[in-house]
Formats: sequence, structure tokens, C-alpha cells
Amino acid sequence: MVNFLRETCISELVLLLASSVALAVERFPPPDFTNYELPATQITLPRSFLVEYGVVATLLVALSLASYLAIFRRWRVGLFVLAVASLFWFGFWQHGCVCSIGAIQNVTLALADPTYPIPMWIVAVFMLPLVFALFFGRTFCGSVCPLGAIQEIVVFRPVRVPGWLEHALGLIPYVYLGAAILFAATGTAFVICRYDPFVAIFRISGTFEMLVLGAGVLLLAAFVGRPYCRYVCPYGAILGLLSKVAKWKTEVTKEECIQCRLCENACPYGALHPPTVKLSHTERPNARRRLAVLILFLPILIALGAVVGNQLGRPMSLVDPTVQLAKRIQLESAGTVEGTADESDAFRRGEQSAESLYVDATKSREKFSFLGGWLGGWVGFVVGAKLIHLSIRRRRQHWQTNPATCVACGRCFWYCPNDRKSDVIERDDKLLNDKR
Amino acid sequence: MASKKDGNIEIVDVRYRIAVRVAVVAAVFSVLVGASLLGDYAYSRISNPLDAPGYVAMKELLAKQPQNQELKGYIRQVDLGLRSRYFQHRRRLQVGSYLLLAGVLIFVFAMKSVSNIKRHLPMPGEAETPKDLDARTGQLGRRAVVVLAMSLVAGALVLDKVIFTEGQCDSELDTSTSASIGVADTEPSLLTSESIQNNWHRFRGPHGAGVSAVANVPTVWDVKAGRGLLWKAVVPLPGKNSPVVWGKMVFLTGAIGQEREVYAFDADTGELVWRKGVPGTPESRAKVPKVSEDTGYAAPTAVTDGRRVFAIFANGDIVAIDFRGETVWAVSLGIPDSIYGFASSLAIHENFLIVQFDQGTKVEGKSRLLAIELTTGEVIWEVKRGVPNSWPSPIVIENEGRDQVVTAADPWVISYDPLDGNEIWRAKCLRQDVGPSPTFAGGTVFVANEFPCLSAIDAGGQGDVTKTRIKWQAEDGLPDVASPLAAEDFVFLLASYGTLTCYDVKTGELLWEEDFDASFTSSPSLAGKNIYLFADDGRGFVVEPSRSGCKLVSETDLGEPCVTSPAILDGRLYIRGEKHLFCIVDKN
Repeated sequence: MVNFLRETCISELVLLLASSVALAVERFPPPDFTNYELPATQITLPRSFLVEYGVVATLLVALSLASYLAIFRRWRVGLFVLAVASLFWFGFWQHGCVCSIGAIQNVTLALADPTYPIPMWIVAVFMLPLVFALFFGRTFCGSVCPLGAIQEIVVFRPVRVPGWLEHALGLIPYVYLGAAILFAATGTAFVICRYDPFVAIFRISGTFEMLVLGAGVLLLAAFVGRPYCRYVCPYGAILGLLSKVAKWKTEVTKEECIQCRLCENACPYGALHPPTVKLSHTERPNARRRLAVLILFLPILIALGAVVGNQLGRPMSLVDPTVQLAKRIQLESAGTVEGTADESDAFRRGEQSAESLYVDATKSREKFSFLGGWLGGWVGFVVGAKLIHLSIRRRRQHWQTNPATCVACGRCFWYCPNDRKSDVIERDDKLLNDKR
Repeated sequence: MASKKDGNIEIVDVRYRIAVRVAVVAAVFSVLVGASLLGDYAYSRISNPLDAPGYVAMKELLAKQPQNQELKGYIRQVDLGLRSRYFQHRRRLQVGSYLLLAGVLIFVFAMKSVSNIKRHLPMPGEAETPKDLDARTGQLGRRAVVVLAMSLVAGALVLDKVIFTEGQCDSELDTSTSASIGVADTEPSLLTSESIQNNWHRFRGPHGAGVSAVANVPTVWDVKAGRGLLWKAVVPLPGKNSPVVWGKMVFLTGAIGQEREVYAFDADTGELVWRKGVPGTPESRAKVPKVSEDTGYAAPTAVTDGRRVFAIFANGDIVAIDFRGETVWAVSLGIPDSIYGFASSLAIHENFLIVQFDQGTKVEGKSRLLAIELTTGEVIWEVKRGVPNSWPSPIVIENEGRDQVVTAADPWVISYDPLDGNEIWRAKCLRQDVGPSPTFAGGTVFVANEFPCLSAIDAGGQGDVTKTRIKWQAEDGLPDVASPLAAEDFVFLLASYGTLTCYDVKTGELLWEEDFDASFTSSPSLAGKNIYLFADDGRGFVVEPSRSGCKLVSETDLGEPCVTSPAILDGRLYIRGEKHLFCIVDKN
């Protein structure tokens, strides 16, 4: 029965998302022979000061609570309830925007374009989880981020992803981060928002592609824990780096590990690692040589990546609306395409000349080529750093959480007998005190 | 104790059963709501309410009976009904989505309860001998990382090659604005020192100097009487540009508003061999450029390389047409911002078409000089010029073995390297609206304008030569349109109010002035010993200059206004009047 219900649950998720397509944007044409006047385009008014800083305040409270529950109180139920509350508040109520993940782009654009105004409250939304990560690890991911929360809820039958695959897929967030910064810095697009898989669910509306994407990720999340957080989220990549130096970390036990292995299947996110064994004497020279080669190889990878990225900058620039419009105008001018498009018609009604548009498009392309080089270099660095990381031996005496990948969800607390023992002692002490 | 334990188990069982039932009910509810929503959505996708047969039929009837008020009223009622149904459908979708969301959430939480109530305890099994998992993970991980990195590169390359080149959306944006629209004609230019001297391939002929290499040019003609007139041909569209001649072909352009044409006349008969329209591009057709009546839409003179003729118009359209009348390529530089209208003629250096595209104000910085490849229309180089709109034509000169493109504008005369557009020298010696083109003789560039003076600049300088290379300056008889004429010993200026002024080419000494009772726009030309002047009213003056003055050789009349400069070839003179192209030959 339970199995049947679990399978039904998966179907439900798909159904929910597919049905949401029904609310995708539709338009009914205006009457065609009356004096009906089309209403003027409405521009969404900015949020009030109180609402803006209310969001910051709730984020601060949620982060504080999540950190307390994960690090000090070690209470999984509390964390889960907080995750559900965050899902409703930051997800459904706030429509998933502004979120700390997307704020990467606002901050990037503000840095790249001094004319782009960025409100301080968005800077706060971006910075707060980072500051908390420095002290408490990824408590934001565990129970504050609505994207993490919705995946946390739907985990039903998580499979263990092999470590080697985990490492390889773990590169993607860094690549995505670099690409998101490139597109934001050029003012082309906020790709993190555009390809946010859950925003359509939070808004109960969206394009077909967005909803299919969301459905796909949630379906995957039922079997692979938090796929977006682990293999896509660029903000998670930053938080993971900062969490490595966190003052307090979420651990599977706060006592000494007794090596009982009860927790070995506790983490569906691959953040719990077993004790290591010593490297044999025969392997050590090879390992050292490999490490040295990879360290020497790092600059080459960076340079190689920069060259490839620079070359790909031009085709990438076709994503840029200015370049797209210039291309369209050029094709129309040459008679290569028939007719005109809405954007080219709008352009011709405007004041800008094609010549000026081409100049703008050329500038965009040059910017893409330049930043593409940086992106390629960044990818080369990330790949090289990961290869070096995989070649460095670490020592673990007992089962340990990896602070970079642990999302502080508290699932592992329940498995540790040390925690149970502490609970029992606490309860007995309390009973003893009551009898006295 | 036993009963308490049994009681706990019973409570757990009850909670479990409740959770399962809630989950089942929520699942059934969600499935029903979801199916209903999907069905409603699918129906809305295939059924457009405005396509209802009755509604369509009524609208068709209304098209035939537009005054049928009763029918209009009925259609409005039906339209309102359809509209109401549509918004009901929208409301159903919205309510249904929230119900579905609620159902799914209840189901998920019920399932969480089911899982938690009877959670399996962890059973780690027998302890195994510790394995070196990190080594294995590291080894496989490195391979996987390499594979992923290669996949990323391969994926990016595939995106570049497949997606970005799919259909028309290739990754190459030709920002030169070039659009090849005609037959491919990649034959090289026929311009050589000899062919340049034997033809009149650009505005003011060889090197734009207004000096013909031949001396046997007619001096007397009478169009009205037909004396000396070989032929005259009607030019379909007006234009202020001058004829260019190559072999047996004479080329002109004409334009009004949105009509632009290039003409080829038979040099022997005056027959219009072909006329080619220049449709332009959507952006160049977007609006009609603002031009003054004196400038018109086709003021720039065409240029030919012996295989193709190149023309530019007031809207910034440039076209290359082969001698058969087929368009080779066309580009649009965008409508220039010129207060009187664009008038700079084209020049050629080797395989480059040189375009002085001055526009706007100095502050706007929109002016530029371009070199366009003759066979493809591809912009080879372009340089920004910090000058406002101007009307002179660039000239290509050779000084001390080095080629230069010399341009004139307010306030700079600038020389560029024709191969790469690098600036060679500049001199600050012009002001206000500059019309006359520069000219060159004996290592000296001569520029003049109504303000401030005529300047003789040594062309061998480098950098800002304002204080070092201006040999002399003069302020008498300054022209505002006609370009200076430089001969071996003299420099001539033709002022628009009718005064021909002669200076010593080396010292700048004013030698003499001669007044003609006429106004002039056409630039003076030299053939043999004689200077040819064409007044705005169509009268032609042939004068023979000397150090002490000038002798009037003949005074003739075209019979119609003339503001263009003649093309002078062996025994012939081609001149464009207001409506006709004339071919004058020696009366003998």
C-alpha cells in the first residue's frame, strides 16, 4: 500500500505541474468593431519599504532559527517545519523572488554597470546567507531556501549517487555560476531566474517549458536528493566554499563517533563520508607525482579554457537581444528572410539607425568575447582545482559530514545513537529532578 | 506495563491508518482535479471561441451588411457570451490549480507521516574490512571530471556549429552592414595609372583634381543650334552629381525621395543602356532623409573601377553595379545626419572604396571614414573622425611614394593611410560648413572654404602640421561650393558670386581676379591651356589663364541650369544639366 502510494505521489507531482500549464499565459483578443480601448501597459510598482525590509527581516529570522536548530538544538522536525514555512513564505507567498540565488545577478550587474540601481535590501538578501555560511555552514540551503525546501519535501526513495559521479557533477554549479555572471555582467539575461525550475510552481503559472522543467526536476528529486542544490545551484557553490571555513558546522554527532555505522545511509545528499584508510607506501610516490603534475597542469587548463571561451564568446553573444536584433535587421536587409518581425518593426519605428545598432551589437560581441575568455579560464580553473582536490588524500577517523555539501537538513541526527543517548540522559535527568 | 505498550502500538496503528486514508483521499482528489484541469486546458487549446461557426457566419454577414445595426447588436451579445465563457474558464483553471496544489500538499504530508510512523531502523550489517574508497573515488572522479570537461567543450562547440548556425541564425553577424544581394563579381579593379588618365572615373576626374590629361577638348558649342552637340539624353531622375566615364559608358545617378537609380549611357549615342533601381534596406527606407533643394537626394558623384560602378545616395545607401547593370552588392550605412543632405562623392584606392561619411556635430562624433572592399562590400577599415557634417569629397594622392587619402572638414584637413586608415597628418585651417573638396598638385594640398581662407599644405608632414607645414594662406575670392583648381603654376578659386581668382602656386601671391556675371556651383576644370567654367544658369566660359590675367576663349550656353562639373576626355566633354546629359564634341 505504501509503495503504491509512493508511486502515486510521483504521478501527483507530475500531474500538478502538467496542470499548471493550463494557467500559462493566454490572451483573448479585444472586440474588433467596438470602441474598445486597449488598456495602457501597467508597470508593476516597487514594493513598499516595509515589505522590502520585511523580507530581509524574515530572512534574518529564518537563518538564525535554522542555524540554531541545526547546530545547537539539532532538531530535525524543527528544521523540516521551518523548511515548509520557508517554502510557503519565500516560495509561494513571495513568488520565489527576490531570492538569494538570483540576487547573484543583480549584484553582478550592479558591479558591471554603474547605471543599474540595486536596492540595499537585495544586497542584504544576497549577503545574509553568505555571512551565515561563514559561521554556521549551509543552513540557508537546509531550511530557508524555498528551492531547497520543495526538493527536501519530495525526497521519497533517494538513491546513492557514486562519489566519482558526485564530484564530476559537482563542477556544474561553478560553470553555471560563471555563465550566470557573464550573462548578467553583459546585461543580456538573468539566466538563473530564466531557468529557475520552481518559480513557475511558486507562482502557479508559467510557460510550458518552465513547468516541464520544474516537473522534471521534482520528479528527479524524488529519487536523487536535491538535484538542483547539488548539481546546478550556483549560490550553493559559493555557500559550499564558505562553509568549509565555518566556525560551527552541522555534524552527524556532537559526541565522539563510536563507529556504529548506523548513519551510513542517513544522508541522501552524499554529504556523509566514512572513515579513510591509510595510503599504502607503494602508492604514495605515485599520488605525489600525480598531484605535482596536476598542479603544473592547472595554468595550462586555465589558458586553454580562456582560448576556447574567447572563441565561443561570439556565438554566445547571439543570446544578447541587441545582437539578435542586429542579426534580424541584417537578414531582413539582405532579403535572406522573408517579412519582418515584431522587434524589427519596432526598431524601425524608433529613432536608432541600423548603423548605430550594428555598432552596439559589435560592442556586445566584443564584450562577450572578452568575458567568454574569462569564463573559459574560470572553467579551466574549476576543472583543474577539482582534479587536484581529487588527488589530495584526506584523513577521517570516523564518519564525517562534508561541510561543503552538507545542507544542514538534520536527517542524520535521528540515526546517531549518541544523540539518542543524550536525549535519554536528558529525559532521565529531568525525571530525576521532578521526583526530587 | 504490557497494556501500556499495547496501547502505544494501537495508537501508532491508528495514526498510520489515518495517514494512509488521508493520503488515499488526497491522491484521488488530486487525480480528479488534475485530470479535470488537463481536460479543460486541452479543450481550450483546440477550441477557439472566436471560431464558433455561428459567430463567424454572423461576422461574414456583417461584412456584407455593415449598416445592419440589429446584427451588430446580436454579434455583441454573442461576443459577450463567448468572452464570459473564456473568463469562467480562466477562473476554473485558477481555482482548480489551487485545489490541486492543496491536494498534492496534503498527500505529500500524509505520505511523510506514513513513512515516519513506521520508519525502518537502520541495519548496518556486518562490519567489513575497511576499503580505500577515497582512492577509488579519486581515480574514477578524475576520469569523470575529464569526461565532463570534454563534454562541456564538445557541447559548446556543437552549440556553436549546430544551433547557432541553424537556419538563418548563424553565429556570424556581419557588422559591416554589408548585404550581398546580387551577382558575384570578384574581378579585380581595372584602375591603373594609364586607365585613370584615359578615363574620367570619379568626381573631377583623375585624382579628383579637375585636370584632364588631354588637350583636344571642344571650346565652342551651341546646344540650341546643335553646334558641337554630339548628343543629349534625358536623365530620368534629378541629381546634382557629375558624369563619370569609362570607355564607352557614361554613368550618372538620380533620386527623388524614396526612388534611387543609377544610369549607364552609351558614350557615343547617348542611349540609356540601363537604369538600375537601388531599393535600399528597410532601415534606409524607413524615412526620407532631410535634404536642401540645392543638394537633393543624389548629390554625390559615382565612381567606377572599370568593372563596376559605385554610387552613394543621401540616405546612406551604397550600391555596386556591374557594367551589365546587375547589382553586385549593396550596403546601408544608415541615414546620415547632414543639415543640407549628404554630398561627398566616392573615391577608390586600389581595391578599396573610400567613403567620407561625415555627419552630425563634432560632439556627437558620428563622422567616419570607411574603406569598403570593391568586390564584396565588406568594410575593411573605418575610422572615427572628430568632425561635424561636411560636404567635400576625399581625394587619393601620392606624395613622395606614399599614398594618402586627404579629407577636408571643419576644422581639420586630415590625411589617412589608405591601407589601414591610420592618420598621417592633420592641419587646422577650415571653419564652418565646408563644401569645396581638397585638391593636390606638386606635393601640396590645397583646401579652401568661404571661411577662413585658402591654405596650401605640404603633404609630406606627420602629425599636427598646422604650424609647420602650411606654406601659405590667402583670403581673396573664397568659394563655398566649387573646389580649388591647381595647375602647374597657378591655383584658381571660383567663388559662387562669379569671381575667378588666380594665385601663384608656390608663393600664394594673388595674381589676378576676373569677374563673371554669373553665379557658380560647378567646380572649374582644366584641359590643355583652358579652364572650363559652367555657371548655374547653364552658360559655359572657356578661359585661357596666364600670369597676368585670363583671356575669354568662348562663352556658350547649355540651355538649362547646370551645377555639376564636366567629364573631359579625348575630344569630348560630358556635362550634366538640370534635365539632360550633354556630350559636346569639337565642332570640327
